[in-house]
Amino acid sequence: MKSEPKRGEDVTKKTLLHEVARNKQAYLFVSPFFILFIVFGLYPIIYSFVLSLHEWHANKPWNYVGLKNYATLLTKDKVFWTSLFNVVYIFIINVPVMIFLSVFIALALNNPARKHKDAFRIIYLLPYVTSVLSIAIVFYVLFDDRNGVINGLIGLVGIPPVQWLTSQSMSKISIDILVTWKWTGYNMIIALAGLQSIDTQIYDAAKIDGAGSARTFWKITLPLLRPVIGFQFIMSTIGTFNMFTEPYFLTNGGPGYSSITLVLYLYRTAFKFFQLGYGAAIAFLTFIVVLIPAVVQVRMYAERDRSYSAT
Amino acid sequence: MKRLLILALVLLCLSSLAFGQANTDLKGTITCWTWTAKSIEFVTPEFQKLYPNISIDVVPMSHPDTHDKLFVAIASGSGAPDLLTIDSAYIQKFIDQGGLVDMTDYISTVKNKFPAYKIANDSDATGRVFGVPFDCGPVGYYYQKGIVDKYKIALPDTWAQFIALGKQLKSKGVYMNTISVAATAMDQSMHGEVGLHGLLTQQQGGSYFDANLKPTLTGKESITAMKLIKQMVDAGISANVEQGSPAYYDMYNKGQVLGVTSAAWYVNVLNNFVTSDMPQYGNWRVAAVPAFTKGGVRASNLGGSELAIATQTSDSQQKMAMAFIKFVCASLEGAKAHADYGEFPAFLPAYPTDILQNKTFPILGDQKVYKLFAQITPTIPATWRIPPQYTQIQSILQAKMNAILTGKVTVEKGLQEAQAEALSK
Repeated sequence: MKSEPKRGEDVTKKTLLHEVARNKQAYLFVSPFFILFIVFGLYPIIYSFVLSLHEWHANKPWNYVGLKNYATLLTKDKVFWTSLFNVVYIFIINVPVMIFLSVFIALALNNPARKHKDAFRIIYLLPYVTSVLSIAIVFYVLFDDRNGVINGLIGLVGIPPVQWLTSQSMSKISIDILVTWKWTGYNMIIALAGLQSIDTQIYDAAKIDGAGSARTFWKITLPLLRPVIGFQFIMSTIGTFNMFTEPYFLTNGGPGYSSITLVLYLYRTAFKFFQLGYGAAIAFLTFIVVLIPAVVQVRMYAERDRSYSAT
Repeated sequence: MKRLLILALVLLCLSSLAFGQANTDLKGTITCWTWTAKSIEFVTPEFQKLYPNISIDVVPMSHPDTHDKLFVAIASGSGAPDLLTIDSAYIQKFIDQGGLVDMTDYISTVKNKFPAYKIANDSDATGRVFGVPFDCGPVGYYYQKGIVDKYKIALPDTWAQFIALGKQLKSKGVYMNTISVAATAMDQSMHGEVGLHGLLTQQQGGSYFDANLKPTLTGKESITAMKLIKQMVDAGISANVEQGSPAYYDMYNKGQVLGVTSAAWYVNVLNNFVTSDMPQYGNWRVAAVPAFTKGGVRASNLGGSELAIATQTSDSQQKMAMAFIKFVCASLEGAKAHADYGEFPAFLPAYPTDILQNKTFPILGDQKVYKLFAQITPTIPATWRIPPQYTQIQSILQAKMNAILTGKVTVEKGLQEAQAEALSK
């Protein structure tokens, strides 16, 4: 230890420890989460980062390779870039559509005049509470080229059959449809909760001021709903970039690599081809990829909130 | 015939002498992970006649799960079961990982009673054996006899005849087989389009790997096999449906597809989807696969499985698991129970006996189908190499097949691209 530590550091350390000691009951109450997080979250994260710097085929000694796994992934591995492209593609189509739909439905259900609201809410939430596996199996049958209901229906209006799951051009769109169908209900509930937390007095005041419904929506509902939409955005981003089950059961990442996602590629690399170090590197790059949009979005909203509260 | 029966009887007597009385020393329960739970459950009662104090706790899992979970158990050092079925294409990965018990000494007396290619499949580079062949996958062309009779067609001897016949049947609205152009191999236990390519490559004596285990996806057998598949697709004689999908079974039910090129275990696929009230029931038959050239080889292999023990297993558990493996894989009683279930045993001494020679299945119209497979198995080209990276190379090839079959790339170009990707791993 240095004889004369910097003053600022010393003080913060002291106050931090002091604060912890002073609030030890509070810390005790929140500690179960952190203990679980350290054991099941932080430790595996650090472990997998260290692993990503090694070559390891399980049960053999770890072979330190430095950043080689990352270098290979970024410069040589076409499948990695394809899977990144795929998740971005799925993300760009899915997330805006899903959030638009969820807000739209929430608005419709939030109308006090609407009857059977609970029934509608349950119906919209059903896809969310159903297991992805069973949904994927049903969609697999619905999307079938020959006997699928969807091709049957579009055939009625004269559209030729679409190769939903068996062509490279449509496989990602089909996954988008499934994901949107499954997650719109969940996002709708969040949007609805957001809508209901808006004080009705604001609407009353707007009405007195003579604002019409369109104006009320653009000037009151939407701005006040923004934090909720931001939350939806971040959750959907993480969900989309970590997508595994849907493509695994619907297309197995195919045809070709047209619907392989980052996590599906990670699964294949680590658990099918036993390249755990390389798999860990994919996991870490995925983490960074998810982090970027999430940070940007959080920043964006924080920024705007500050500017709003300033005005 | 009579001689065979006598031989079978003698062998049966001998083997029961060898086993003698029931063994009551070994006591306990062994856990088994398998994707063919029915098969293990089917042979267990026979096994328990000899080992009444051993019970088998069968944990049914999907085909991918069985392998994924074993990998995790070995990597983490705990949680592996005592006994496992492992797909022939996967076992080398686990041998390489170092998680399976070396059974060389256990099976030294019966080692040469299995087809050489199966033992090679279960051995490491130094010749130590880590698994025992459970079932073989000799390939045949399964077809619906009703369709053959209806159109009075002759079954093809060569693949060229196969395509010619296909063109003829196409006008009647009947396909020769199914090939999903998407080639996503959704149901891995059915092996998919890449499985078809593999068996056709092996039939010509080719391999995906050279002697140094370097991938050779651009080998001439591989190119010929892919061209043949492409030719079937282009000629429109193969129904474009995914194996194991509802549409797949539907087309066979409606008699829109004549047959399928698959292995001996396909009997059980039929058992699962054909019920006795369907016209297909009793209407299926098996023929040897067509040859590439007149008089050429009409044998290949697709899939198959091995029984193995994880090193995590305690010695006493290992003994019980080994007793089970020896019974099922290396005794006539075990082979009989296994054959009765509908999987083709790898135990050669059972081949000339009544157990296989006269084995029939009502679904196959009581054809002596195992007699055919017993003839095919010894002629399967033993050139097929299955190193640890086999499934990875297979998956690279599979991902390329959609582009090849839809004509986005030529056969040669597509295989070159797959080869380049394989070499980069």
